[in-house]
Amino acid sequence: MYLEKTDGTEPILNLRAFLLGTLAETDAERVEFSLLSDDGLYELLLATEEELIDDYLVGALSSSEASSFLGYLDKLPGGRSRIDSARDFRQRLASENLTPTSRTRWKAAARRLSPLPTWQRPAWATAFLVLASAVAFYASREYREPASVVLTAGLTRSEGEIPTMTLSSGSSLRLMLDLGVHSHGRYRATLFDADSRAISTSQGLTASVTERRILVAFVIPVAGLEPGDYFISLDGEAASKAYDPLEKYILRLIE
Amino acid sequence: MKDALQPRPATDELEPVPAVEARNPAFDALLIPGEFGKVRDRLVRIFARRGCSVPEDLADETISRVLGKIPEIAATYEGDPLRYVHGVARNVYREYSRRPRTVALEDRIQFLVTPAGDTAPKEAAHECLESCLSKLNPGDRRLIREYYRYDKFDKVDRRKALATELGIEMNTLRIKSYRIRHRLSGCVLDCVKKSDVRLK
Repeated sequence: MYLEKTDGTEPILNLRAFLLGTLAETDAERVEFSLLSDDGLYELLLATEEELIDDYLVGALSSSEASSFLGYLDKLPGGRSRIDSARDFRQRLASENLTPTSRTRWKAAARRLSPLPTWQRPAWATAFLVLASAVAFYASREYREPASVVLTAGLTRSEGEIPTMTLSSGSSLRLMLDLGVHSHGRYRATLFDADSRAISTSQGLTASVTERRILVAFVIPVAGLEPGDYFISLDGEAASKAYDPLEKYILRLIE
Repeated sequence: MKDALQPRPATDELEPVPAVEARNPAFDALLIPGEFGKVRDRLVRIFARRGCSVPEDLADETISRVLGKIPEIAATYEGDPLRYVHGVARNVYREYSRRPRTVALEDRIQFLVTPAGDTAPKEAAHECLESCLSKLNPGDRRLIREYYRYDKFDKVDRRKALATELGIEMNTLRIKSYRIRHRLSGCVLDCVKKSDVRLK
């Protein structure tokens, strides 16, 4: 009897017990099958491994737990070196000159990156539909494969290699977002301008595997876009239909 | 069984999947380039968790047996092919557990040899980590800083508070933090390789 496929919400205690070798064997076999078939659960397992490494470093594991977990880690490629990397990482974070945590500053930053207030959404939705209809009309008259670019998460605007596309390359642009790891069944991508105004949103996107990359692709119409920096916010659709914010990608459009 | 002393190919250097035709669409999905690599990574962890000293060999054995059987069973097999893969893995484990145990020489060497006092590689890695942390966008840098600002006594409470502040579930926070760490690891590895090239 096997577990149903999970949506990444497997209790973390089960995964810890699985890695520490304390889960009952029948339950462990069920987790094994789920790991083979559920990308979200596998990613959660990898995150749990990192947690256990951190727990080991701060002495939060009992001696039997530490022994069991190190035995597991030793058998993985590059396993032990992850402990050194994690130790360096924690030391580096601890040595940073941290400014006091400011709830106000954190919330202000989150507000700058948040989607539009609710009362503005119908207007933007209407504008988007009109824009989309216009694009569809012209597209039906003459279709041309849109120019594409692959975007990687985590770049800042100060980086010298922001992906750049030209607005004149066509009537639309295909943006392919490198997920890194596939965690949700469907995704939502929202294009924002440099002032954090939402330009367009695509929902129900799915990931595709292309050689060594997992990509979510969506097309944006060029009409109405000005040269400048934009960012794309990628969210994963949870089982509850709410969205989990995942990654942000930067794009520069030029004439 | 492969010789444990043979160098192991990285996941993305595995030999191309041979041209196996599967008429079951679910088995076809397994034959997409890269898919068996993903399955292999998970099988390695499954065998490692079971205490096998050569989990990569056993994962390769499992995949070889599955590939060999696909032409025979694909047309008539019903259900998720990954159940079949799991079943083969269980059989491979049973056979392994009945064999006399040996400790691979390279595993013993791992414990006997301690690195000399050369701190240059460690310093390079430290500098690379600093550089890579500075490349994170402010939101990610803040998240990873807050996520690891704990000691063993208040970790759970601090992280719950962080998840609440960000408006996400705990598991989503775990995955976000893991992804940032994963990106950092890749960045540090690339940076260290480049610094090795510069020093040579």
